[in-house]
Amino acid sequence: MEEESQIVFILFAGAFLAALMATFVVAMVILHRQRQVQNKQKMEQLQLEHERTLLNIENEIQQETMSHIGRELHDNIGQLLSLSKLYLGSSKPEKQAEGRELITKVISEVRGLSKTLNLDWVESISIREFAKQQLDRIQATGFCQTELDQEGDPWELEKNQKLVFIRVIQECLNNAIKHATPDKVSIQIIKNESGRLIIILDDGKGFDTTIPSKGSGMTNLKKRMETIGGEFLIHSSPGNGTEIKLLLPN
Amino acid sequence: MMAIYLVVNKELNKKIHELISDSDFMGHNTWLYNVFNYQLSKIPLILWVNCFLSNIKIRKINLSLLGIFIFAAQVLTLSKIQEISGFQPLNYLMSHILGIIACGLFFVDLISSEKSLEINPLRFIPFWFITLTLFQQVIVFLAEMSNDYLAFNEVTLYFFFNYISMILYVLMFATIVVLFINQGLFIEKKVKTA
Repeated sequence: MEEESQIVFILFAGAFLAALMATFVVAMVILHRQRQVQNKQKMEQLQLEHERTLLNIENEIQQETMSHIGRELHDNIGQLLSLSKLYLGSSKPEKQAEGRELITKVISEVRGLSKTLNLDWVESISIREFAKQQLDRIQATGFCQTELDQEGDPWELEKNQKLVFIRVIQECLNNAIKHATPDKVSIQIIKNESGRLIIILDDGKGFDTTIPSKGSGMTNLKKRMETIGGEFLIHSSPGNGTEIKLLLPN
Repeated sequence: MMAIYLVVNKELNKKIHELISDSDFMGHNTWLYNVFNYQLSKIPLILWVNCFLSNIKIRKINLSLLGIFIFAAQVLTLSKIQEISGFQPLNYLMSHILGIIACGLFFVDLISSEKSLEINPLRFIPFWFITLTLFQQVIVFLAEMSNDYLAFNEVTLYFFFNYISMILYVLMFATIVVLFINQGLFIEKKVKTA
């Protein structure tokens, strides 16, 4: 009788252990599947956020472009056309010739402007060219001195990465002009083994980075760099200017 | 194979027995099972499981447990607490627990590491190997624990456990064969092309 109960116990123990192991393995597979589903949802959400950020960036660049076109039409092309009208209305042939030259200039200016209306220019322009364009524009206003340095080979970036870089550089330069009143703004473009780096340096007022800012500008810039797998680093202190590093690892 | 050979070649068996043990030679080859089946066999098993772990922390735990087991087994054997020529229940217990924990760690790694998120475990051949190993270790663990009783009182049940263990061994080897035939860790769907 005792023997029988021991056999039954061993058989039960064996069956119980086998069932326990089977449950364990099945539970692990189910848990793994659940994790996969959660991860997929998370990835989709991230992708959606990434796309939304890029769309915002594209919109901002377009808005910036539109206001640039507006300024160009008013301050440059409008002036050229008015002058051409004056020259062409003159009875002197040399003035009329100058008027015709001005019209040719207007045509080329309008052609140049029309190219900036869509975002195709982003693909054709390099980061160096864009930085140079922006710095030249600042220098042309006489606001401050500018400098551009490039170390290493030219960068090869995807369109999305380039869009983010362009927008972040634009925003950093705008901030420097708006808030720092610097005497000099410089941009260094560096490419090395670890990755690509842009340093935007100004010798303006600077600020205390430990004090949380009221706006969401810096957080946005940081987030944007993160969407392309990059980093946004800022070093500044009152009276010592500001150094911004945009890092994109390889 | 060596076990079979030593049962036949008693002279060699006796020589080795006298070399490693002080006890009288009774014609058994238990020492061989103690060394190979319960100790040395665990090293490739744990290292094999370790290959499929992606979490470094879990890998370290796995290897540390193997180190502790080897050390403890040697201490118990050399100090004669567990005689090498006789049954070593403590070593058997540790050996099976080590195997079960290693399989458990594989599953923990499967549900916690980022790398395993991309795989389908049902198509991952090592998953089946380790599942079978887990079942085999548990069955053998149970059989070992009730060995004394079963071997003398219920031989049928003793053989029943042994047969299940053998079938599981065959299936484990089959997964290894599939691994080599498949030439990859995953069973992929074959796409028929015209």
